[in-house]
Amino acid sequence: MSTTEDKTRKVKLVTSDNEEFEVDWEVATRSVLIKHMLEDIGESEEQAIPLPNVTANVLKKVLEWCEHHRKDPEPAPESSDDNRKRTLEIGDWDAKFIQVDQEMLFEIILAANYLDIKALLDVGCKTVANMIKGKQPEEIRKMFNIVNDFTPEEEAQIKKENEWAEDR
Amino acid sequence: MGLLPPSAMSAVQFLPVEILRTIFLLVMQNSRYCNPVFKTGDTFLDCVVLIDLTRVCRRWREIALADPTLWMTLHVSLRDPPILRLLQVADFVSACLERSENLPLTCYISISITGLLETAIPLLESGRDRTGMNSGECIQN
Repeated sequence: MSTTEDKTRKVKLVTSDNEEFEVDWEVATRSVLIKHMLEDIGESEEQAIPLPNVTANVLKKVLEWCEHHRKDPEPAPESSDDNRKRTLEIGDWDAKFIQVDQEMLFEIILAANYLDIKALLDVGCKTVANMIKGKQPEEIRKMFNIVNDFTPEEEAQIKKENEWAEDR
Repeated sequence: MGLLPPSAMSAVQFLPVEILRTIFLLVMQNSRYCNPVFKTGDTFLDCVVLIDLTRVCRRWREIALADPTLWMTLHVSLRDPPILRLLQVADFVSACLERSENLPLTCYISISITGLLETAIPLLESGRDRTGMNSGECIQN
């Protein structure tokens, strides 16, 4: 449980490129990783939290999301029933927030995964899923610059295996 | 940049398997679960997106085929389907039967047919050997 004292507390975060960010406890602890690290270091307020896997430009973006969602309730543990209700819908603010170039999108996803911010990871994954939906394999490759690394033999085998799905 | 190494390789390929798997699940979400209000129309294309994912590159194929849970649930709604579509769904069900391995397969197929119910027979027969399979529902209008 967080206390009133916690909510007024400031937290220092240091990125892999040595940039320091000072943010409110409530914002920083949207990240479960940071929350646990803060619990580990206890009251030593001056101690900065190192984030060796996140650069300043990515953390800045992640913190923008955390700031906007600072008052959100703690996410409930996932159950299979929650999964069943998942849709690809993204809230208006999140949809605008995630309108970034592809490299930043994947950086945000990786950072959200590393920092353990499930709701942000969800926004990122849904965005990629929406990009993929309704596209043919060649369109997906082109969009993400993915190399078709199947051998001609594998390609022929896969084509044969999926002949039934060709005519849509 | 941050976690992405500078490389000409596609950034999406640096996502861990677990994240790509989550994305695959989201892409095919519409074909995994029945909405509270029963779906209408033709949702076959929502289902075969999983096949398309296996055709993008070797890594995506390996991830999709290595995870039987991706193949264990499908809901297909068909409205007045031509015979070709019924046969395609039968092939897709066969692929799911094989790729879901030993997991219980939930296969819910709703066919709204204004013509002859017999046209759906190839589809209904496609999964009859699988224990625990909930074979489809046909609505003849």
